[in-house]
Amino acid sequence: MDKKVVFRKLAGAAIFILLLALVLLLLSYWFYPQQSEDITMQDVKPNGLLAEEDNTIDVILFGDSEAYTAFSPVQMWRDEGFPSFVCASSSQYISLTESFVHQALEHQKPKLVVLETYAFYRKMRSDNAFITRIENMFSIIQYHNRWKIISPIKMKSADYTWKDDMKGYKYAKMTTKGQNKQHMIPTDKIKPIPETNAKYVERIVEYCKQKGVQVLFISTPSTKNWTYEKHNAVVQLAEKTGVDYLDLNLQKEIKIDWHTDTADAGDHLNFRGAKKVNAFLGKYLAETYHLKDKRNDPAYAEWNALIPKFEFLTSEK
Amino acid sequence: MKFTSYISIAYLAIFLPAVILLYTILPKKVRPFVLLAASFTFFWFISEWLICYILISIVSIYLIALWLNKLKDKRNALVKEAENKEQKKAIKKKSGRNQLLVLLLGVLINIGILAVIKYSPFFFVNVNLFLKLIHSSARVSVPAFAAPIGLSFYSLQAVSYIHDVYKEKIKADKNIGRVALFMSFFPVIMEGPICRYADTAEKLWSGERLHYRNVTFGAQRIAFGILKKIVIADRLNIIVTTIFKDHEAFNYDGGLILLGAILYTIELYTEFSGTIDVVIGSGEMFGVTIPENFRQPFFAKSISEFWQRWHITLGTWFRDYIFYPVTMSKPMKKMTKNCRKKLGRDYGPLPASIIAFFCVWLCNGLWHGAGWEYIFFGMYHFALISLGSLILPLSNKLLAKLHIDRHKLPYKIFTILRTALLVCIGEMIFNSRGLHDALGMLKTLFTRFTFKSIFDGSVLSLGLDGHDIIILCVTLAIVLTVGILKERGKDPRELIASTPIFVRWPIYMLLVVYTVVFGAYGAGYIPIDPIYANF
Repeated sequence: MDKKVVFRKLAGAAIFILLLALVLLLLSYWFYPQQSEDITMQDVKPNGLLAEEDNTIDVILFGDSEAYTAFSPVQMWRDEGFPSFVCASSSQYISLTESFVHQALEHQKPKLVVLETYAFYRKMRSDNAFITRIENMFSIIQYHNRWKIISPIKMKSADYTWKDDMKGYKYAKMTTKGQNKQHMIPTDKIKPIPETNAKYVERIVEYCKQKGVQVLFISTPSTKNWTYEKHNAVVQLAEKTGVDYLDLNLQKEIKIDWHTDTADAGDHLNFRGAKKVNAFLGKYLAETYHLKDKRNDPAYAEWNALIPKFEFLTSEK
Repeated sequence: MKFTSYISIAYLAIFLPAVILLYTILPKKVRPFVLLAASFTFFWFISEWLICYILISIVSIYLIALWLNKLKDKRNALVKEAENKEQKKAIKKKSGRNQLLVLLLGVLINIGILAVIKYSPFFFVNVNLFLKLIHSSARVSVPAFAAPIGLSFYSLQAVSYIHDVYKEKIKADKNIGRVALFMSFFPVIMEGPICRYADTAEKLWSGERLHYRNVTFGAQRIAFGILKKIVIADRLNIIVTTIFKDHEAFNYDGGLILLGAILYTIELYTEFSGTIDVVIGSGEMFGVTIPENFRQPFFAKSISEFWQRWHITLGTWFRDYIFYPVTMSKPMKKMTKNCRKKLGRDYGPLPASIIAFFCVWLCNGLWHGAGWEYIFFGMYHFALISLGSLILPLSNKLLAKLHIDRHKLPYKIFTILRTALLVCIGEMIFNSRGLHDALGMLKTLFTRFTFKSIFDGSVLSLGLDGHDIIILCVTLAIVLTVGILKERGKDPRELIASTPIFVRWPIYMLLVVYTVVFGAYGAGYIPIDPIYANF
């Protein structure tokens, strides 16, 4: 074929694709939620944070299912009096954690951000990262379903009034007996954190520091998911980023009984395990980070009202 | 990279463009190998080590075909040397028997693998049921096999290849690469269409360069397929799943069951034909004409016509490799001859074709899945088609008496609607959770039929809101319009291509934007897995 014709056709195709991209970008702009309350956290429980009053939460904890089964803000409130929230979703990728952190810090100015460390090891698939990048560029892909609510003149924003009574904690009732064996055997070996994931963690820490928020890594007790090799890797990363690290697997005084305290034989904690963890953790956080006791602050009256509900839910019925 | 469907970012945005790029930049001689390597890579991504099964199939049909060729050459040489007619006849007969045995060996290998992997668990489960029924305490253990993707499709292609060589419709291929590419070409490996060697093999191996028109037309067809799948099928998935899952627990009435049956049929059609659009569009980009699998099936005026328009390549496969061989077999021919004498011209050929229909529909049911509900699905169509042929002479007389013209529009519309309704009931059986469930739904359909839940608004609580219903109606209208145009012999793509650039470009863009905005994907929607890939 004539070279000129080939060139003309290729140029035509390129122009078409560029025009299409432009149309999609314009639509993305139109569909993108105008108010930040509108940006959802893609999961019901962490969304509860968006309804909390601005600058009222002192500790925000991020992570996957390990985090939402282990951290219980209402218990820590009852015992120590500082307000916290768990922004966790199941199988959370560290890339999602990053966007959660950004969204959370838009309206809250906590003293401390906690990152649960098991999510550091969830390897991101390469096409996942690719898809996320495309989605970020063309946000129409993420927000396309807003065609149901937007009007041509004024965009209606969703109303985030739903609060989570357990502040992100997911109560696990079941017990599947695990084994009381020593799963943290000291060693010098290291199980490296995937490189991309480590970069994400570093970026998150950097962002928090810029915002003047302290960061703490916590490993929740799990015989199935945690080892000394992983512990060593997190120690290294904590040193590199200048962050504190608390490995609950090594805290003897928590006294997890793997026969009764786990929902699924050592993978996640159930409500009994969570109680033990939060009794320890609440005290630790309050003391280490000098968190104020706000139980008598009238602005937090709502929080006190949640205590009976929490106690009923987690009682041995 | 993991493929679950052709309609995925991994396939459309990464795999396909990468193959096209490689195909374009490499020289003509290498191109067939690009396609072959891409096909094996694709298979590996989905099935990993199960790729061994397709390799066995490829090698087996390659060798069987060559063997058949050798027998034929030998026969021809001997016939040439033969002195008289009797001798020639004897040579032909002996060679014919040997060829048949070789063909059967090939069929045995390929259908054997299919049978063991797909049907042995079903068989042993039923053996155990039988043992329980006769109060025997003996049980056999039920084996479980992992099935490679596309097994049901490529096995049929394998049989068609050796059968066509046996029938001398094609010559055995000496190039194993070409046979391998015919068997494993990545767009058709998951959900068909079931190709014939004579249609695609040559073109696939030619390594012809890409043509601008083919690529753009292919892309348009892919875009339309995606629209059908993610705007309609994925949207319907929510309500269809709810109705089929909960109908017993919530005691849905017959009206809602019928709605479920109709919506499921639309979902199945848009999902399957949408995926096939992506498949055929992918082939078209490489200049390969993959046979059509759908021809506006809901314009069919009878069940048998429906099956000539729906999953066409499966129907023609059954016609060529089961129906004809059965009706053309010696005992059947003899029976037809006798019946003609006794029953007359109208009904004479019927017994033989009814027996052949039975074989076809038993296989058709079983091909869709190893379960009694699928056998029931096959038998349902067998009954409808047999009944149709039985009463045709009668209904002709009746229509003549009532002065109804078959070719007038009202009668045509009546037959189209009747056929569609029967098809929907068939698909309801098909999507049931088992024979018991299918019979339960049928019973509700006929004993508790009301439109109450449709008119009192409770249908809106099943997962679709008013917005969704509007989008469904608009999109179905688009699909219907395209169908009417095609039915009238017009290609919508040609029509659009003939318009000036400021008309056609906005149309193409609208197609993409419409899908992006109104597609049922993302939070709140669960995409359906490709329905036919599991067969």
